[in-house]
Amino acid sequence: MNISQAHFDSTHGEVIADIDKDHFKAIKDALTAKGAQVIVLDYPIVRDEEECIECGACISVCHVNVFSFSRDWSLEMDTDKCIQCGTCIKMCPHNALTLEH
Amino acid sequence: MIEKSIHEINNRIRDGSVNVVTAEEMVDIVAELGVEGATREVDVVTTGTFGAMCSSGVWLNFGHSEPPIKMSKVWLNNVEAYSGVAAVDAFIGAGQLSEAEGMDYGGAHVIEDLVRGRSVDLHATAYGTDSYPRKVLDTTINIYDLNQAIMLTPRNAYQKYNAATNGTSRTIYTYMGSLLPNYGNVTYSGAGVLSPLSNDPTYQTIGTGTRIFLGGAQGYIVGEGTQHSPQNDFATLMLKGDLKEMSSKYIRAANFHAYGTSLYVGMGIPIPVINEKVALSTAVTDDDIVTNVLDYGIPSRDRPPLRTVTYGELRSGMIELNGKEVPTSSMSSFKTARKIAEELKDWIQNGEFFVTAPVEHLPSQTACNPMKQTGISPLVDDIMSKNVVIIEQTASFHQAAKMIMDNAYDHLPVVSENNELVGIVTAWDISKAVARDEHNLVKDIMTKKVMTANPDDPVEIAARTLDKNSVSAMPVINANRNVIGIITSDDISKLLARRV
Repeated sequence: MNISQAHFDSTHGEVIADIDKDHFKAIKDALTAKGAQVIVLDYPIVRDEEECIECGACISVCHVNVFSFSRDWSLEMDTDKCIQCGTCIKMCPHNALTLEH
Repeated sequence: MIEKSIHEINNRIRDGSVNVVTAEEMVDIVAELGVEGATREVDVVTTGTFGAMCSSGVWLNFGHSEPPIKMSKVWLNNVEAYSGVAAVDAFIGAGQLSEAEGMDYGGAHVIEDLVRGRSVDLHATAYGTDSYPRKVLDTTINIYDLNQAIMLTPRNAYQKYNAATNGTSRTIYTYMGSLLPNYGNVTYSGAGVLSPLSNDPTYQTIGTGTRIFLGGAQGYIVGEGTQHSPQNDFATLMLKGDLKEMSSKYIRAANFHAYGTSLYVGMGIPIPVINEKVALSTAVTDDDIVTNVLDYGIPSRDRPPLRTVTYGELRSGMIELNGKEVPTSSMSSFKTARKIAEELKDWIQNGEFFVTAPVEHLPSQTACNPMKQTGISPLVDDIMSKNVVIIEQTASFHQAAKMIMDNAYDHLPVVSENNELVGIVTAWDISKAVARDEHNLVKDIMTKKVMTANPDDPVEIAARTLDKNSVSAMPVINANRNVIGIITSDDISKLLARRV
């Protein structure tokens, strides 16, 4: 599996990882057996088109290239790629990006 | 040499024969017809930009209350406005934060709410005088209730701006957005080919009195903006416009995470093509506009440029930095800049907007000087402990424990055989090792990720690093990573106690 983010402190930890469908069950069972909680992140980033001014600030902070410009400098999104890390939410100056759970 | 007067161009606007193009279109026209042909052909070139302009604000006049009040303090939706002028005038600045919501809401949001016609709560206090007896006032207003809402921006429309990156090991949050660690991304701002001031960098047509597009309405250039720095192509403008006529398409509040609020202002300048020199300057391309990439991880006014870069490179989406391809982001919207240039073009073609000659030209010799600081800002070197006890990484953990006991220090910097800093050991690390029954060498129990300070850093910088990383001490190192001292939160407390 490909770990995209990991946060730990003295009380708890959190890892966001990209897991192959075929191995999902085995990995999930192994983690659950060790006491971890496994949440499937399948609600990709949502863009409020009224708030978005299409500056493209989000483009360079996304490690998986969800955002890009079209030929006329409109912002395009490929949400299939989104791993819901949330980095773009803090970047967006217009609060146009959200993750809904 | 072809010369055209402003009068002649305005006559063409009046009779509908004017030829207007955007600064983007002008590039190809000059390439095709040459400078002389383009000057003959084109009468006006329109520009546009839509980006964060923190130095923006609006003068409001509320009208007099009954009984009257001379407002000494004013809040709009809990955001303080400046009212140190006459009774019911106040200036709301884009960067002022809400006293209730902090960085989530600020002056920029009040301005956007006003533009959208929304109601805003007004609270004011006063000391009371014979002619202004009222001491407290609470009411709800919207933009239509105001006598005036005049946008007056101290510094807008930067000719170009530095590109930003971050060489530290953690993400930093700036007015240039989130900057990822280890030069992980680069952000920039400005419309490049469409940038108003880059299309007339010698201010042949731009100056005091120039009529412009501001926030979707007609506005004016007051003159040079603050920090106007023409000699290194960082010119700025002070602008004026009627907020009541503006549109939320071009006036938008913004929040920069962990930085504060700002206002995105849409503005554009029409450049009358009065001669060949002007035609040539409006043919500027993204590749002609050069700026610096700066490391915003350096918490100082002086950040040495990492490299120069053109807007063409920045807008390609990737630039090379230290031999690595790094993704870039624009913080301003090129799509909206283009819309502004197009809308301004329509206004002129439809005879709704006439061009102007400046009443005064912008100064071309001023510089943006640093602040004169009379108070002496103490450096790390002034307050650090110089008799620091260090330990070698190959020492045993017992030796470390004994050293901490003997010297009553909580922190022991750990060094390699070459005397270079490699980690830090604290009483806590030792307790952990004891609890786990791991009686290892210092290098096995030390914390390897150690924050450090430089002797010539201002104390404020060291204090912020301690605070950000929740640590209470940092080794002070020289360029060879030799430990020359240690600075603790105690040292900083003592400094502050002495000052008071």
